Amino acid sequence: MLSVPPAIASRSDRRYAMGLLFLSALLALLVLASLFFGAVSLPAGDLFTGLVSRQASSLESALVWQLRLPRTLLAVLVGLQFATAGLILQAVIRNPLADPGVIGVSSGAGLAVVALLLVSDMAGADPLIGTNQPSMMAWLPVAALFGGLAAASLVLAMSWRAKLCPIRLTLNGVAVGAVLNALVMWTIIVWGGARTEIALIWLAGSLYGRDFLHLQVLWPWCLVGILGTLALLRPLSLLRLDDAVSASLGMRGLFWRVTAIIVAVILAASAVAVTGPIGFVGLVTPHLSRLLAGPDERSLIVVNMMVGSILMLSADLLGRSLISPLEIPAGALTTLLGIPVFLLLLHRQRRLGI
Amino acid sequence: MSRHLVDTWADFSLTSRAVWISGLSLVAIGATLIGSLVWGDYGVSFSHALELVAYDDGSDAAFVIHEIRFPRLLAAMLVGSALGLSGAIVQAITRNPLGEPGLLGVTAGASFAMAFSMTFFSLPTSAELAFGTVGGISAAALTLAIGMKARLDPLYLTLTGMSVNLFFGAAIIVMLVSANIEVNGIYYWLTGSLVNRTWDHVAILWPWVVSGLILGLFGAGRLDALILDEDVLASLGIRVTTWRLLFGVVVVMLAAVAVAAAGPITFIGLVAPHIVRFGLGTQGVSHRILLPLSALVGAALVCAADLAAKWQEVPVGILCVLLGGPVLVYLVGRREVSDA
Amino acid sequence: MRNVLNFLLSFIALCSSAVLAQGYPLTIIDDRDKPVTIAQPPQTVASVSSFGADVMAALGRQVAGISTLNGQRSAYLGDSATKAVSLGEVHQTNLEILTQLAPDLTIGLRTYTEPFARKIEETGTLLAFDLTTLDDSLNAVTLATRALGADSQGEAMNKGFLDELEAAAKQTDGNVSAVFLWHWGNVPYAYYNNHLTPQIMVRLGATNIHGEPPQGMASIDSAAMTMEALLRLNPDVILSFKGEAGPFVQHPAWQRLKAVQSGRAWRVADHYVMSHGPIARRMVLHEVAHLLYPSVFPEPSEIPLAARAKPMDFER
Repeated sequence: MLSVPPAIASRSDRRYAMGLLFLSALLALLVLASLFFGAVSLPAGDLFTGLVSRQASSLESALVWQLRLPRTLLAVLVGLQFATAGLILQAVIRNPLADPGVIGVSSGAGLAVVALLLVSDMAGADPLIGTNQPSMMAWLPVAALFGGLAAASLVLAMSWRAKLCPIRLTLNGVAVGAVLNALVMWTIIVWGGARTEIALIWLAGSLYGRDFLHLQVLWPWCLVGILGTLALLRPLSLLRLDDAVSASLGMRGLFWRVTAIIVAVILAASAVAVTGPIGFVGLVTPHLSRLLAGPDERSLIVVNMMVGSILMLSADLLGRSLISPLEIPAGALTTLLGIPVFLLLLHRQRRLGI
Repeated sequence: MSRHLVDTWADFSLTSRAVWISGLSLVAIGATLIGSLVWGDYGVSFSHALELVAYDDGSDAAFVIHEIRFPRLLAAMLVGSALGLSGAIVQAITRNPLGEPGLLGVTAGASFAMAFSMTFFSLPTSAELAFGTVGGISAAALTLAIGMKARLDPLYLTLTGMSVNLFFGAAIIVMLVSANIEVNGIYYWLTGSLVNRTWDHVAILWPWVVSGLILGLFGAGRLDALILDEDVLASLGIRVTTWRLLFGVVVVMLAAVAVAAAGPITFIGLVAPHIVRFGLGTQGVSHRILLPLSALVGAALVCAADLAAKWQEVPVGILCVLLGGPVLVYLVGRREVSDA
Repeated sequence: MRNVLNFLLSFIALCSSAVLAQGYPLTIIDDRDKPVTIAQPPQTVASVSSFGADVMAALGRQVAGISTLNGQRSAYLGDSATKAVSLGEVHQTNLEILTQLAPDLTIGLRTYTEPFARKIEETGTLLAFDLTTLDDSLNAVTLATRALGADSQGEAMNKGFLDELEAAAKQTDGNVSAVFLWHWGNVPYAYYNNHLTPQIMVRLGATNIHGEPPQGMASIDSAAMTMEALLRLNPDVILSFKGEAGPFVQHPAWQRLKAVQSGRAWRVADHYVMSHGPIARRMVLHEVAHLLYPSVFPEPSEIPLAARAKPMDFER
């Protein structure tokens, strides 16, 4: 391998350390802001007491423990997961525009959710089951998870014959995504009715009404995903290279590519299951992080996770405080915020490091 | 037998194949013409409908045929040809065989402007369509302005266009949620549909489509050249950026007006030129042939999709995606085989 | 098994409320099929949709919090909900404000509240109702008034409404066709017979041109209608929620519609869509009766000005 001159290494190390410090401070600040700001404004001291004491009866405790804390933690995890999935996919597909949407995760999850809502609605009208069937809402994350996994497997299977060639994978992903999205829209239009709003809010991607139960569902997947990412550290930097080069370096290219995609799918599908498809965090975060982290793959992954969490947290915070008592879905905001950033990066870099 | 057919087809000259394709498209358009004039929620018998086409007796049935079904059909044809035409041009200037007018940001920009005007103003149809067209043009201008920096390099342009698209897509959602109008309705429009289109729509569409076709035919030679390598073009003394920009404007106009009239109908711009190339049996078709045929095939596709949409009230846009998605997969697969 | 259990539970609930008269705690089975226990007479009540506020107003009380539709409160409630705080849009109740309000009882639409029922129940008791048909309305009024400790008043409201409907139906000769629309962009959507407002029209002898919902789609209350279909069915009276000008009006077919030519196309307020509360349904009944049969029924005077039907303007 190439050896880096010590002077440069230490300079980039220092820069990395400073960046990390800055990001940690920002993340901590946002976590606090997320706990202390909201539609109901209360003195910070009271909220702090509520956070520490956790009395079920006090308003401060209820606000912090039932509403703000679970959302905050979920935003951190989900942002981290989307960002990591994006990073892995961009390396594997060698496409700077890759994000979890590219392999069909978002649209698959969307179709599964809409189908579940439709089935539960149909069942409601069925005299055999009775008009008051139990709600299927609790099953939404599960359906979304399996929908996302199924669509991703479909895209992979379709591209299997081409040995998961990056272009083939991307185009198949776009086609599958478009068809699944069309089916979602079709279902929503034909079905109409009041449930449409619920489906639409879910499709926009939001952390509204999420609580610790969602966190319980999410964290094992998150852990598996992070461990998988760590295992991928070395192969990932090689996967960016040409097939011929990585083969000459003794990489079992196909094996690592499949493993990397599976890890990305695990991260993305579980996050989509909880929040709905959140656009652009997976796309824009790796580019932003590369500016901060420099060339080292290990620091890039860490910085990338933090930036993802920061983006997600700020989107959620803005979404619920900008036009309160209304809420803007975090997913729409991440896209609105993310795109100008992305265009700016594109503008500055001209040629994106792939 | 089939072997024999294939051989015969291979023997055909390019011209006779082109005649065949246009013939088939015209037959398809003719069939949908009859179908969509006769078929609809206002029951009119076949023979009566034909009589009413000939002369307007002032009855409701005649009104339905002349003022509802006829403009809808014409709008479908014009939207289809606008999309087919702009798709063929965009594939040449971005040198991307999988190019689509939506990639310049037009579709999402026009959609956003239309949704915006429907939500916040009550404009007359023609003003609303103009507003949507301007929206599409602005989004594309943004894309092109950012892309200019890299001398409209195709990859860079595609990246920019996709981001602009996603941006306006998100903006629509934010607007919907904060203004909270009935989501069913906007969803209906966002899938692309030709329901309830009137002569106002036709009047806005046709000048653009006709002038787009004429401009395209005049510039066909330049379009043929633009597919070549950048260095070759420079050595030939062709000002690449200027021509790209010029054709970019034509594409944007066509696509923006089509989206304003029918909502976002995707994949037609991608699929129509490929059907023509497939039919002609060659990739390197002169744009003098490719452009009019793409327009014709696009028109036939949208007309047929609209007729099918009438039957089940599936929005046209959705049918086009359901049709175009598999075609894209097929194209990708074939390309891989031919590359190998 | 589930149904038997439900029956038993509702039976017990019925018995207990009957025996103890208005004694709390009482248990009510709402439309989620969930036994909801109400410990004390609710003092602070939140309403997600206008229904809860309507019931409270009918009992002469005010809700503490109410949701909005398109950023606005229902005009027909007039002054009866002025003190209530805004809970945000009906499909996405602001949970922080609801937590601060800490209502004893939240009355909501099932479709909007059930997905987040767990969060809402952390703030207080939730009663969620399906509100489409007349039966839904009668049932929800019965249950909501029982929860508020006003069984007898609820029964009286229901009986009064049915009697009034019956009496009005006797005065009509039928022979009028009508449609209730909402629209977006240039696509009109028409309500089927399973929605309370068309049900009232039909009970008054009118024909709803959109008829029954398609087989197996009983949960859908409205569907898109093409201009051709509207022209073919050509109703005598058109009621339209959100009937402002715009492309809808621009379509040349409108000018040919009987209802438009005879000036019988009306834009109506949001209580026609959420017509299930005791106040809303009476207003709809009175106004629809007048609009269908202007010579038989006088123009109702109790409806706030902002909520009255206005003629749709078709000047191009």
